[in-house]
Amino acid sequence: MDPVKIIRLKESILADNDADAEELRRQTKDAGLCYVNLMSSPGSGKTSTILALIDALKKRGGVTTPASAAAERAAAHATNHAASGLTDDERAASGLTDDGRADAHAAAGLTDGANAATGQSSAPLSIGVMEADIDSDVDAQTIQDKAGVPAVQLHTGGMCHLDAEMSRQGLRALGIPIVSRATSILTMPSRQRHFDLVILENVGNLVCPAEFDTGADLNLVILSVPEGDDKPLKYPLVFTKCDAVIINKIDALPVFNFDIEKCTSRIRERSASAEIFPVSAKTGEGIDRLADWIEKKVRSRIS
Amino acid sequence: MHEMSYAVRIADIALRAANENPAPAEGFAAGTSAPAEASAASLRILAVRVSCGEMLAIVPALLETAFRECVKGTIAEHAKLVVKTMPVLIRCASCGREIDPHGPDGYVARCPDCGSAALRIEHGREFVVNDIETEII
Ligand SMILES: Nc1nc2c(ncn2[C@@H]2O[C@H](COP(=O)(O)OP(=O)(O)OP(=O)(O)O)[C@@H](O)[C@H]2O)c(=O)[nH]1
Ligand SMILES: [Mg+2]
Ligand SMILES: [Zn+2]
Repeated sequence: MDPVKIIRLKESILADNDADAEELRRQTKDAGLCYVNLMSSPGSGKTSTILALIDALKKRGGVTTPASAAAERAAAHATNHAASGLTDDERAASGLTDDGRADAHAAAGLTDGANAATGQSSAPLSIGVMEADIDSDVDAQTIQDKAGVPAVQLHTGGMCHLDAEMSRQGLRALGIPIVSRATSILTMPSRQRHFDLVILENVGNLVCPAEFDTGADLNLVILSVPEGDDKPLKYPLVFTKCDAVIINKIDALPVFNFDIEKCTSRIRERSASAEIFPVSAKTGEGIDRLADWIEKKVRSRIS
Repeated sequence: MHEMSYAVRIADIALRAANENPAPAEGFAAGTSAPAEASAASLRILAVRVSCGEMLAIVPALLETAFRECVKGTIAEHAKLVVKTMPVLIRCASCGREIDPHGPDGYVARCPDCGSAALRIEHGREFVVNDIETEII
């Protein structure tokens, strides 16, 4: 007998993750969630753009703190009681905790400019953010402090990208009730919360995040003016696979040799369908158009 | 260092495959499987062959280094990692035309023949463990 044996495998390394990403998309669909993956090189303005975007969303339809299942019930309660003219004390007596009430008001759409919504009949969106970083907490803290929405930090432990299972763990950490195969079959996060939109700030890198499907519904790439207009040539894959390209820091156009037309046609060569949004996270220019587009995508996904 | 994430998966796949295909040990008739423990101890992985798409921008030397780390102390400890790079090939899903982005076509968003935007990346994005070579010792 020949002691050397060749075992044929033809096993795709990315296939496992691709299948898992599809599974995650089914799970988030069931959970009524739109999951957005934001990719860019380090320092292109991912955190700044997330802040500007949440700000813009707050100004239109409003943003709520995510409701826990209990808070949602409480919200219905609170609104009913308010309508029937109950005092705060009476409502407190009905068993709502302070926390529950805060959440309840939020869920009822009373916070953060939701009232300012004019001509916008849709309910305010509840938003969460996941910050992936090799090893720090700064971005999650920034989001929580400045945008006032729940944020979790995912440490990738030296890995330069996130895969579908790591995404799932992050979504669970936010309290989204989806099952993970990695943990025991039926455990759900202990504190469950509903989100309409979760934005992932992927690790700053244009290569690996493009290869590993995170299970997101929308993939966005940021390319910033100081990086140069030839990025789509150097990192073709990420531009081939994304749904939209955000050209950030356009306030800096006058000082950089960046040709927006040339850049646009280079993006077009990679993807005929990607939306292109020139913005400045600093001045807010162009952010409204981006917020419009994202809001439409979120509403059609969760409806 | 995205080579590391690939190396971890390659090592996983190779070791799993070796365990699932235990070597028939001496003294066992063909068709009957050997006890798992005996076979695991008697098998060694000599080579692992992978194909890797050019678009993944894998540096073979870094992949090799990462792979060495992953297989330390396993039956693949001395395995040779053979990396074959697959050039990018794009095909038009409507008319079947092949598009070579490194050739005169360049990177295009539409088929130069029929104008369709339904282009598929046929090669260049894959990462496949083709086979492993094992030896009974
Ligand atoms: N001029 C200008 N500067 C910006 C803009 N957006 C972000 N910046 C600056 O660019 C730097 C990096 O921005 P961040 O939002 O932290 O970028 P990031 O992509 O989250 O960075 P990492 O998380 O470290 O990868 C900061 O100094 C920002 O103030 C913009 O539109 N214009
Ligand atoms: Mg950041
Ligand atoms: Zn064609």
